[in-house]
Amino acid sequence: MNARLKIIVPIGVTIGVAAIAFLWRGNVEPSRWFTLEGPRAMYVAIVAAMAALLYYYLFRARRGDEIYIRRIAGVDAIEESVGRSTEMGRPVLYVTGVEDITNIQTIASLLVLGQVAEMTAEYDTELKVANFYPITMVVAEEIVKQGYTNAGRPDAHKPQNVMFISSEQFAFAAGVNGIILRDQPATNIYIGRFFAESLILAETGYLTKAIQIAGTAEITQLPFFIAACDYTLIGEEMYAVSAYMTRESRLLAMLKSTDVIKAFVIALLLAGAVFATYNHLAGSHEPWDLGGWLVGK
Amino acid sequence: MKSTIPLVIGCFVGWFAFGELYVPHEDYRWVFEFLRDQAQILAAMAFILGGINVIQVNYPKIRRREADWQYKVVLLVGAVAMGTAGLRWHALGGEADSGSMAVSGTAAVGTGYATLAFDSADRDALVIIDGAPPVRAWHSGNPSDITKPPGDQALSVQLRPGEHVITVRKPVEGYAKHEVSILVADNEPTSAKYEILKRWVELLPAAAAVLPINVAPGQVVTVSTDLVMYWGAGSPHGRVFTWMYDHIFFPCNATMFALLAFFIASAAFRAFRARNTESALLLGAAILVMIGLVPIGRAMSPIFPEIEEWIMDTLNTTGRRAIMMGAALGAIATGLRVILGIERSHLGSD
Amino acid sequence: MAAEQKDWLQKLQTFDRRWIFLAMGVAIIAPLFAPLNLPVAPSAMVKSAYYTVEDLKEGDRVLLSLDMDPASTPELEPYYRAVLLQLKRKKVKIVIATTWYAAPPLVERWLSSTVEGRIIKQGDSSYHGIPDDPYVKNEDYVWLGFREGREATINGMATDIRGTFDNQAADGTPLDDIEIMNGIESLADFDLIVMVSAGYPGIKEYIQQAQGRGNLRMVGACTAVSVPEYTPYYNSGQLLGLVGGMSKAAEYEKLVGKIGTATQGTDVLNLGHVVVISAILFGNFIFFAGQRRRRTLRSGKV
Repeated sequence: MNARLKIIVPIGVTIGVAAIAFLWRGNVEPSRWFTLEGPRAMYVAIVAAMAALLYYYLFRARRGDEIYIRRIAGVDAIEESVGRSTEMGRPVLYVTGVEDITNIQTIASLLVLGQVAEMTAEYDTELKVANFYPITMVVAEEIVKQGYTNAGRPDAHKPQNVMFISSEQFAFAAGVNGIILRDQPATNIYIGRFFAESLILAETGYLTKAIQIAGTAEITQLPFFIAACDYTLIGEEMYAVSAYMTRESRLLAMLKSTDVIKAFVIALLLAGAVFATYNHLAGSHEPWDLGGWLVGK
Repeated sequence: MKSTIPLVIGCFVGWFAFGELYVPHEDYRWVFEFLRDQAQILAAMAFILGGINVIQVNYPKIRRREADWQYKVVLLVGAVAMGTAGLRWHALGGEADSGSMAVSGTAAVGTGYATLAFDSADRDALVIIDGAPPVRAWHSGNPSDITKPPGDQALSVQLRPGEHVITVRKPVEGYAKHEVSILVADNEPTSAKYEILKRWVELLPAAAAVLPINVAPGQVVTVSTDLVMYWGAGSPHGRVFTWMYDHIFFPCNATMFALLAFFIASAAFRAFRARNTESALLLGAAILVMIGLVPIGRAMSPIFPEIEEWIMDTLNTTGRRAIMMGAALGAIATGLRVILGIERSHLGSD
Repeated sequence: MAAEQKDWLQKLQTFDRRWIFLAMGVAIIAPLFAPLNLPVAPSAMVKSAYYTVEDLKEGDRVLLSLDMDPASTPELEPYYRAVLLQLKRKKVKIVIATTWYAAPPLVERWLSSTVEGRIIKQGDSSYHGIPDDPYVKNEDYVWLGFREGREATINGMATDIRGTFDNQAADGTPLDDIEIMNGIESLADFDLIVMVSAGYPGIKEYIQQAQGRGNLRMVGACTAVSVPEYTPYYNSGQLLGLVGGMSKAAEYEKLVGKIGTATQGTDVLNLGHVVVISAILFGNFIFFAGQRRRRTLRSGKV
């Protein structure tokens, strides 16, 4: 596919889908069974554009085009640190966050857990998983079991290593601290949603000289992880981990489609900033509401 | 088949949840809320699994006397104790009454007051009359001084005509309260009326605590209480549960949170080093924000709070918004991956 | 001299962090014996929160959402006491609820001591404003209790608060029998929503689930770590005021006129920050001294 088409097609697809939804937005009469009032049309545009781009990039991936992802140090470090754990004969500790299974960060964490479980099974390293909710524990156990099976080591899986600690925030922190201090894991992986216990876990892990890899989209806790952990996956990097590790064409295609949408958001932000600056400099008292116009107000 | 069915279910339910925003029909919403309620019930049932897991993981370690096995004994004993205290034992077989009232005496002409007497089985009970500060039901001369221990004199007060609300309670949470309403009449009843009143109280002891008891001037109404100790975790909270909450849970919770103060200092010592330009900027911003946030910074110079506000409002908000937008798009992509069936690592490999 | 300096530097590079813990411990305890009493100047966000509550009239109805746990009481309880005093002296009717499961025992204790009791005790010479009177349950205030469901509960309160709490208060009294609740069907029927929030669910969820349904008037208090997260909501006008952490709660106490634990705790904050800043500077001193030593050794000079 020639280079020009590679750029034009995704832009065209995104603009096309967004334009359809945008034009639709004021013209669909709300009924009992369907409504596009308010920002709903914009949401549909984003999701539809993402889906359309996904299929475009899938098509390209299956044609054999290489899809580039920039290096994410934290994800590369996962495999290195699992190897380090194997050499030292110490386990890997994986913490799935302090939210329940309905939270998207927990889902992302469990998806990464599957990859980590396969890796630890291949390396013959013990994996301990600490969970905040029992239902997350149940799902995590299935994922770890599947990971070991995929690696051809179903016998090595120990169900008692996937633990429910406590649903109380600081009791959970105390329990995980106990595991860190007693079992001395060589690698601590904290991926999911965390709150105040993040620094408690990370500092305790530092005491045991473990390599610590954290990933969260919880903005208030990112500074603590960045200060206390060796590698931190910030926000969307956490969601990109499974694509990065497996390099599966489907997952890479999804990642690329998100990137294109992000580029459009940046373009919109720039346009909005220029527009607002112009309004301000022109002394406009009733500036046109660009955002409101986009969502059909 | 083993991975196809979960995939299909996941796709269908995912799109159904997505559609909730676009389909205002009440039947659609009903299904959505029904599924959400079932999810909550399932999550609550999963706690039983969690409890079993806690025992399964820790009991073998106690049996084998592994390292720090004593802490696991504390864990299991604590879990069982809190679970036991959380059950409403006092309500088994129906809730007991916390007290009763009886009216006695003949009306005396011209007194204008009725007498309120107490006969409390609880020596440390406190009495609140018409919202006034509490007084002791058993005292040694001065019932208003509740800092002194209970005495041997039973509380007795005069009630002027009108409606009065009396509450008898223990000084601590976790016990029943006995609330009564007393209506002191302006005129003395005939003896026939008194007989009717007395029979009414005897026939309807439970209602006597709800409806005002009519009392004539000169009569004595005796409030007897035996305040039931509550159990259980729901409102009203049980005594044992409240004690464990106040003396174990609260301090432990606060202690763990307090560790953060020390850990922040040690993490800052270790991490905020000016190794390169970016980390020097980070360290400078951290120091300026910390100084600007506290009164000591304002005392040093009024410029510090302004710098702190500018850093937080301009630089910090910008970065946060960027991360939030990226994370939001990543979350949409992750959700779409699961809904479209692209992500299958939770189901097994192809 | 070079050997002594090297040993000195080596000792610093293996500096035991427990010295920092000790310094922090001293910084926390010392102000209890020797208060600094530094002046507290209310900031714009705190003043905005205060005056929003001051705009209320007698008889207005306020929802007070106490979404917190014991760990966050040092940062949030001072604001709670200050805003409750402010609400009580304005004789506002209060509806109290929570979406955190760990909150009810804490809240019920506070109800009996601060709502049904007096915040300003008789003989309190440090307070010169209007004292508060005890509130009567189900007449001046209602305790709705706790409901599990987090965002779903808040969403439910935004549309049908009576249905969310099964049409009864926490003590079982039907809401139809409580005069305060007359005409209250959803959050939009309150004159103000005051949120005391330790995290999730809290201020953000109220804004996301409820604010869009009718331009609700909201003020909130949160822990200091969450202030950057909620400041955009204040800047956009969705929050009319924000009190973040203990230092801002001390500013609020000053506005209300009743000095409480936040003002006393501000001394600890001051010294604690000094310890952290000193630790950072000390860490950098060790780092640069080590770098200088390495450069010197590499260049061959002693």
